[in-house]
Amino acid sequence: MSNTLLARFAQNVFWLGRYIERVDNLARILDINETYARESHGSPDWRRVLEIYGDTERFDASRVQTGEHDVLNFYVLDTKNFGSLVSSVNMARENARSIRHLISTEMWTQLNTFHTRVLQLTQRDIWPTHISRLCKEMKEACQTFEGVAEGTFFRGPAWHFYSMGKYIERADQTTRVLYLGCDLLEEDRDAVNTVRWNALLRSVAAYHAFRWVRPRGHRRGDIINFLLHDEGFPRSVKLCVGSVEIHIENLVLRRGQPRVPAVENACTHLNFVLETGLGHEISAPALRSFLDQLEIGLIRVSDEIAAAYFRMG
Amino acid sequence: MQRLTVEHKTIYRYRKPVRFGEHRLMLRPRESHDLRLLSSRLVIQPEATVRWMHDVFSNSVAVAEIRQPASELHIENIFVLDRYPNEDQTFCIDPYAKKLPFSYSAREIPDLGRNIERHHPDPDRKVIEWTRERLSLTGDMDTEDFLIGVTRDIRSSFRYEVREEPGVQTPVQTLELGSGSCRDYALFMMEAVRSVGLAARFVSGYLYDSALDGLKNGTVGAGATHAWVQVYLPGAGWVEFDPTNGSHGGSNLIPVAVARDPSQAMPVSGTYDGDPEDFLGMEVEVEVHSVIAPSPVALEPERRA
Amino acid sequence: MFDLGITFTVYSGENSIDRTLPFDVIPRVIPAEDWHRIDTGVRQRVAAINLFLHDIYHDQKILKDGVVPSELVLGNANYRSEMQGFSPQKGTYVHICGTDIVRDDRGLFRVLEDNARTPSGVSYVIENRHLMMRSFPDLAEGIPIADVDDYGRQLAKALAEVAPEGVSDPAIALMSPGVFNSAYFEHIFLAREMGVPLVEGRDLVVERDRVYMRTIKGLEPVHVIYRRIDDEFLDPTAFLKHSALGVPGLFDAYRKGNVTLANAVGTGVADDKAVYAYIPRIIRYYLAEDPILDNVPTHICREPEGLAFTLEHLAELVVKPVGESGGYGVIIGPHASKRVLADLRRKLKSDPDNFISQPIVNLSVCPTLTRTGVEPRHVDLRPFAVTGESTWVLPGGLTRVALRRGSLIVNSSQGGGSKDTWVLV
Repeated sequence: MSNTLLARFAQNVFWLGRYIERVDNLARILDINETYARESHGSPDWRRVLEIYGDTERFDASRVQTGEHDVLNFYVLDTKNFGSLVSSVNMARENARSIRHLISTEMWTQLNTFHTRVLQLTQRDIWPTHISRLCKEMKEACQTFEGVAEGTFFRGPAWHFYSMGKYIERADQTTRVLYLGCDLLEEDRDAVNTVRWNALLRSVAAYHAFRWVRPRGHRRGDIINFLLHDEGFPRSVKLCVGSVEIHIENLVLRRGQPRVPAVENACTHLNFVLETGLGHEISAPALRSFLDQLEIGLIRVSDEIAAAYFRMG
Repeated sequence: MQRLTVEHKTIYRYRKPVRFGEHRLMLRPRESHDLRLLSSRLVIQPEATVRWMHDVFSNSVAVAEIRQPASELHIENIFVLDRYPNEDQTFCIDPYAKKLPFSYSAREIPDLGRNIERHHPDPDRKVIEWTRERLSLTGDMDTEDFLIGVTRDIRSSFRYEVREEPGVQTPVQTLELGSGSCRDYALFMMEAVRSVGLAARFVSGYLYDSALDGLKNGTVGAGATHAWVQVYLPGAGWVEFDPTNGSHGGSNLIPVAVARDPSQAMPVSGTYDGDPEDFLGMEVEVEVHSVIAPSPVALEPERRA
Repeated sequence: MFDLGITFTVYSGENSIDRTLPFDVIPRVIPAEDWHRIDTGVRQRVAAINLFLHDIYHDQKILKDGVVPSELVLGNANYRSEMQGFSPQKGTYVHICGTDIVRDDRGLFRVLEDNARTPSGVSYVIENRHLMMRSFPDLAEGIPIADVDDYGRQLAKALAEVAPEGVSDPAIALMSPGVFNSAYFEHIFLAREMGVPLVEGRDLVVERDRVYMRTIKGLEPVHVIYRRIDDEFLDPTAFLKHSALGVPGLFDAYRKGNVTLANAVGTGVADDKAVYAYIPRIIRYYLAEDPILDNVPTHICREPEGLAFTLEHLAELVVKPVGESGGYGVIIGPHASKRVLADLRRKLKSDPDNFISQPIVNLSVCPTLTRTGVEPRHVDLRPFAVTGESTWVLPGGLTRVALRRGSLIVNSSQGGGSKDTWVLV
């Protein structure tokens, strides 16, 4: 009996994985942006974050309506922004609530504690002097959740859907950050570039890993390839997509789930694009078009998973 | 149908008599609907006890315990076979697999999985880049065209070298050196096609080259064991590709062993008890002849060694 | 407990408040002989209720023999004529029964109320025990206390016993109205304890009169549904039409015997406050035995003597409307103002059928930890009886305590609390 997972719960746990990953990544980006992305007069350039998430239009529109001009508020406290920290943690908890009986007690407890804390956040927490501490706290809460899940979540079908959600979101995040690389490719002042390439690496926790792989200098294409393809780097698109595939495989091989060709085709296609879509000479337009294709591929994988498993009957 | 004889001699020479450890021989062709073994003889000197087994790929493996020490080890394998090649070069590939990329079917994936995985690191993505260029030259992403193109391109862009020493160059090495043996070519092709999601495996065996054959009773050139690639194409099955000769279909190929990685398909492997300096060298001779098959009235005796 | 998420959502208000049921650390101890009486008494009562339900939905002998007034049963809002002629598996209608028991001032156990529809609270029983054992592991040392961990397994076993004919490995599901229901935590808890899926109406579908769950593998059959949804909401095509909680076609599948519902449809007649008064007679009628556990003395206002007595002693009695559940609408005479009593008198005269009255039972008290120290507080007891082919009673049950000094209202939905219940073996 325990092998039967309701379609609705599969959807809940998939989105739980996505939302927690989203919070983790958002906190990371905000933190890095605060430290490393400074404008000419020294204050953080928050609009870069809007670019990463493609939120520029949405933010500017809401600003006209609400008079709010604080990007940080938009991404941390704004409950009307479905992509904010508060909204995402809320959604994570709502999804978890429906599957309370499928996750471990410890996961639920930790998430509840996290949620309670987020409900208590105020403007003070996003003051320039506090934002870094807040981001660190948010990141650690997500990492704790992931750690608890890793240690206590039974490796049944629910675990696999949770993981799929997590890795799809993670691949998506790395892809988004790579869009920043397009801008860097178009500039040619190396001095500025190094600092900003490093910031790009740091925003996906890749700085030290990359230095380890390439200790003695690199060409700029190497960073892009590293973030896309390196199978040692935990947030590489290749590793994340590979992880999604492994979990789909496990569902079939270990959980008696019938194979769904549409899902497999979507993964094969994405892998193919990932492997062959970008040539040796990486130009900004080529990279941009390639990343667009990756995004489309990721959305397709996510949609096919939803169609195959979440809407049965 | 072709009737062929194969004589394969391997000689190891040593400075002084040495004791031999177990030797593993993969010399017996894989019989199937397209190959029938008529006779086979394995001679080992000094004398050995031989037992036969099937390895993980169901290749026939002779395991020899050589009973006495000697300063020369002779292994001679002679066999006669009938080869029924598939003359039809048009593959019957399933429609969904005619274009790249495609997913293997649900039933086949668990068994093909390892053959799709790449086994050799490619940190600078050089092999992938080479493959990508070939792909971009393939009109319409046609699977067949791509594979034939790769086979021919390897032949034309690399320099063939005979390498007797054991071991295989990594694909990256082959690419950087621009040269390799048939084993190196085969491995390179395997990794290249695997990088676009195709299942490929390594084959070692013999090549019949009519140009080397001459007349029925004529002289033959020295040959060597040969290596090539099989790629799994839904509908057509395992299809042979020979990058050394730029050909496909395998009508002139005699498969002995198939494997996921070249290290698993060595024709002869074994150990001796002694110092490295004791080893003087190794010689390999392969002769493959065509034989007229006896008609209802037998006109020619079969060639024997 | 808030961290753990154990809650009992209080109904009032727009935003549902997740309120933890207050837990008192001093356990209520029940000696073995007392428990034996409760155990046999509850089993007797459940057996009689099941026989009663079978009778009123078939030959109605008890009504024809005039033991229970026909209009009380057939005119009852909870009587489902759609159930006439249908026999559930093994004749069991009430698979899970919660019997509210109090102890009067002479120390006698009396049944205050039966809960034969969707009784709740068993999750607190088990969680309270875990809490006690975690907090005071040494307190119970050497004391032989009956175990309560077996409930889920017993319930799953019982439900499997009443699966449709010919099903060898019945699939059981627990059907809940969803996260906003006051007892949602318990639904999760039970599903886990029983090892069965927790479903909502939208997860089920009926095809060709068989019930299926929507899973990631497609449709999987369901044979037994432990439903924590009231009758009217079970099936929009059979009952309340605008319910989104139910499953279209479920009732047809049920009547065709393709799925077992626990508890059966139409059991509300048996836990009706008016029918309650007749239970002792019902026990005697079907079992030819005296009730082991007696009722609290009850005056039925539908009967003229009952109404007259009630009106005369209004200020001394507890008057209960027959329809409400959870302690709402109950007027306690001695505590009520003149205005409330006058209003009640009017209601009684205009709609006497809707009321019963009982003397105030001075509920037994139990030492309870309060802000001012250990003080006596009134308690009741709700044991849970599980019936498949036969009845098993969870040793102990939920002891509810009225946390306000002097208060007799123990219901969780009105701010009561609970204690761990120790049955000595």
